[in-house]
Amino acid sequence: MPAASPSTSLTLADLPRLLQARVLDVLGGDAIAERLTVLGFAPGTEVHFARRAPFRGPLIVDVRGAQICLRVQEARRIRVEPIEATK
Amino acid sequence: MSHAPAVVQAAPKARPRIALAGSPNCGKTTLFNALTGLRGKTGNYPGVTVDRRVGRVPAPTGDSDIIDLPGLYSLTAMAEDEAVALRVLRGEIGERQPDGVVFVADATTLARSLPLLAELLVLNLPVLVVLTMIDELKARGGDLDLMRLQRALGVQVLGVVGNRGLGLDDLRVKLGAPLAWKKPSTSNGALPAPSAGDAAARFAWADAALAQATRATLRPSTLTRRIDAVLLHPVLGLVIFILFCATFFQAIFSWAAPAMDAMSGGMDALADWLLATLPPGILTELLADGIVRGVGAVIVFVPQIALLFALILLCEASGYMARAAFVVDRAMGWFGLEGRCFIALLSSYACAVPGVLATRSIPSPRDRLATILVAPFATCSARLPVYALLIAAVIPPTSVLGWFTMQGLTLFGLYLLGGLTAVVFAALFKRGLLRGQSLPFYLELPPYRWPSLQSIALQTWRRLSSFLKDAGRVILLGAIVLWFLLNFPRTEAPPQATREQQRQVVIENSYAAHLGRSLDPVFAPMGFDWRINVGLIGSFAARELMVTTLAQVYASPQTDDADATQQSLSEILRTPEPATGKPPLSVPSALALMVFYMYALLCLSTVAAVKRETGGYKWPLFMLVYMFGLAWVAGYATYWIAS
Repeated sequence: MPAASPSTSLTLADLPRLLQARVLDVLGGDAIAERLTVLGFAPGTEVHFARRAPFRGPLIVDVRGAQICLRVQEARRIRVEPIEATK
Repeated sequence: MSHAPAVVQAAPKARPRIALAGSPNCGKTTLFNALTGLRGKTGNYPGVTVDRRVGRVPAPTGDSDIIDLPGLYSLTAMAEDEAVALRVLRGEIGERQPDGVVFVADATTLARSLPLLAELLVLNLPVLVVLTMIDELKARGGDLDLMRLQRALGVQVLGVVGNRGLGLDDLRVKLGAPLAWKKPSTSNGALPAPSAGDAAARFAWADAALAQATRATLRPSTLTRRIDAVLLHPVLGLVIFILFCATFFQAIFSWAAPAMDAMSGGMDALADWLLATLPPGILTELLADGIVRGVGAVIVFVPQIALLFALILLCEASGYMARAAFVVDRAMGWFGLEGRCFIALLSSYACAVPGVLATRSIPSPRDRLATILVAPFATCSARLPVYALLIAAVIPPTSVLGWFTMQGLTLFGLYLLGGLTAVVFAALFKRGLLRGQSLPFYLELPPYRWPSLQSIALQTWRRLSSFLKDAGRVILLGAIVLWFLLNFPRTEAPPQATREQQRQVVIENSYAAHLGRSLDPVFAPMGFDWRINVGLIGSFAARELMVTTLAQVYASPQTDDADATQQSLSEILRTPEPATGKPPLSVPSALALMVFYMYALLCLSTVAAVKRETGGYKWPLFMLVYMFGLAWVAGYATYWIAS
């Protein structure tokens, strides 16, 4: 599957439309980006959308066997590529 | 050569010190509690607010001491607790470097936690891997070959079920002999751990090791899915959350009430018994009135604080706390806070002390401090007797809009205003004083689990006893100082005076009265006279003592029945005095006093708790000053508007 080019790329904040995706990288190159990687969003990791709170509230994703809740602000830093749904 | 055995034998005489490292929610604390039981102790690392838990682990082959490190995802030392963990592991704080590290990991989320092991292996200490929740892994259809995992990781792997004690005997023995653990090695086919650099390499290493050991991948927890479908539902979840808060609140007030009443009755009985039994004199009075009644006024809140601790721990261990934080996060975000801050603020409505301690679950130090700085604005239960007194004194019981009364609405307004002030000030602090780079918001939703009651009981006990130990000294000292101020210098009353009149004579001439009079320039703009000032001084030990102090200043008859005492005092406060023709407390003054009382930090225990949690006097002093300033300005504004 070709990696999405940075200009058209999707982020974890778009996950509700995708349901499943694979992490490409975490944008920013700062301590927050490093932290998000350490928390499980390393490149190549598969993520699944679980649910989101109303009013642009935080979203919950499944990553590496854990349910993780992130705010939109952080989710926007995580670039993803879609995975075709298998079912 | 012949000396060598003696040297080798002398060295291990000191008990091995083993550090427990692992990510949050990995079952580390449950394991620590199961291993140490009542021998575990909680303290603070010097200068930082991170919990320090140490405890002795007994084993037939040799005891060991274990140190429970703060939960971490990485040793990159970004947050305070990670820095502390790293320094403990390097032997920079604590007595000496640990002799070994136990890496604790939840067997069901290894893919996420195993990268931390790569960082631990680099430290070149003996490492033992302990996998918890092995039972849950099997129940969810997962199967892990521990032998293969051991080979891939290059260190020994042990599976346990912490809350049922399975595998713990074996672990206890192993903890006593860390030198027998295999040092991390890459021989025998172990995958070399990435020594430095990026997290991605560590994840790749972890994935490769797991790929070798996994025989069957576990299914997602269907029970958790089903419960979450309800508890995290946009509408239903919110309804349940509100019900949860209401129940939480109700539980703290009504379940703790019998124990609190018994404590307060017991303290009074003890003081009376001491007065009757010991030879009369100043020392007896100091003991009975100063120490037993003074400290007792704070001790009365211990059942409530304990219940609050236990409820918070129960919600955390079962997994609901994270869901509650998710539900409320959006709303807290408007004030620059996050979901976890809400629980601390909610607890503060019962008592600011457990509220301040509950901020420990907030990972961001700035959010945590902002929450601590505003927690005392929440209307705690010790304020209630004072509000009840003042409302009964000046607010008419007129009914409004059918079933509401002015009195009820005033009380509701005070509760509401306290909460609003708390969140608004938190937002101000986050934008101003506590500005800076923040950690990303991140919340893990652990699967729902039956909490280990033993672990919760132990943690409640440890939190409570360490609070009493730390705050106890401040409270004892405060109670003695206040007793002295209110009772000295001794003044003889006319012999025919009643007991109430005698008390009034003493207090009118006391140092506290002098102090109250000299505070006149500060409080006169709000229409308080020196007697109200004495009441405010008296309330510093514990807020509800204001009622007792005022009753003494006004020579109001005091009985064992608190309601009757309050009624006669509120009668005095609204009846015009013969000397001036005006009541002691005018309506504008009473309103100003309520507002002042809502904002000022008149609570020694909270000061002590904040000092403990922030590691110094800087923040509690800051709180005293800014809250007093706010209280004065808001009180004066209220007086001015009401006049």
